[in-house]
Amino acid sequence: MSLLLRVLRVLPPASAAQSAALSTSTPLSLRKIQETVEGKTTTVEVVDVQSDRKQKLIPVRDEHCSCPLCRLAVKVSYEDVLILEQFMRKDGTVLPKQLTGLCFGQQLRLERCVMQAHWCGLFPDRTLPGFDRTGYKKYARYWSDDMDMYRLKHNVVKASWFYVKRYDVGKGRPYPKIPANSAET
Amino acid sequence: MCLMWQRIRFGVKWKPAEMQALAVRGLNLQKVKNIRVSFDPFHPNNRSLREFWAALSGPKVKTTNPQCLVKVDIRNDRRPPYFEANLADGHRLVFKTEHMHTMDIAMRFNRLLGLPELGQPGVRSKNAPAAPPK
Ligand SMILES: [Zn+2]
Repeated sequence: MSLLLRVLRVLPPASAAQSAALSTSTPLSLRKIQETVEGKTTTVEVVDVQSDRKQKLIPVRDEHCSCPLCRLAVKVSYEDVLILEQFMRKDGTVLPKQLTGLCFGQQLRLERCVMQAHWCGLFPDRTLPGFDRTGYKKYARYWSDDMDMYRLKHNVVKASWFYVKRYDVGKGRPYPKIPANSAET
Repeated sequence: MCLMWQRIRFGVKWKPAEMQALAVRGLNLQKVKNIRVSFDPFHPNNRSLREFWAALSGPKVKTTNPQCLVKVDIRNDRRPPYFEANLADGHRLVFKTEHMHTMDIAMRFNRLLGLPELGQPGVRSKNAPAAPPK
């Protein structure tokens, strides 16, 4: 926790863009509180943290959003474990928006992806020991999307109701059709 | 959805107000001779220093050292805000508070004065036993 308190987020807009006008890559969007002691004077100030991998940082483009995940040309999914873990704590939870520096949408997306990764068992050492594995959460599974957790799909099973309704409705109308996605039993 | 999701959603909150309140409550000016607060009211990032100034002028903080003089210098030069504190042992603290949160200022100030960052009581832990009744 003390580490988190020491790391502040750079606010990306105007001032950063002006100072970074001459550099091709972003400064690491981190700031830290630095204490300098000179004789009897202690100066406390906030300085930008320079990355030691400056060549590998994602460049800034002046578009709608300058947060790291929007700048990334890829939609992050639950499989991108190495990206996700940069926004996570040791206990598998996600850092707050003020510290990750993401925009609102990307932050929520990140949380969903992290949850899916936990569900798939991709963070075995960071998941809750009592991870709820009852019922439909029994197995690790494949996710097609980050919203997949919320997308409920009805599994239509042909039952008595289906057969009862299969009478001739008259006037030359056909029988009710069998839905295409119904389970074959 | 499940317990892990609850933990993720809970961990995503960032509420420095509680730690700020604790740190401000733990302020103690006994070792401080005088403080000079200096800021430009039109500078966009002076909020934290104004809040810290308000904390310094609270009645409980004032009673810790009535001799401590808090002087305020309102400038008009669009320069970043800062404050200086001269300590009784001759040391001098300079805080350039432009990008700092009030919580950071108060906690760092407490630490440099040799006090506990969040005051004597500190943060209540969930698992710690309750304090014995008096
Ligand atoms: Zn964004």
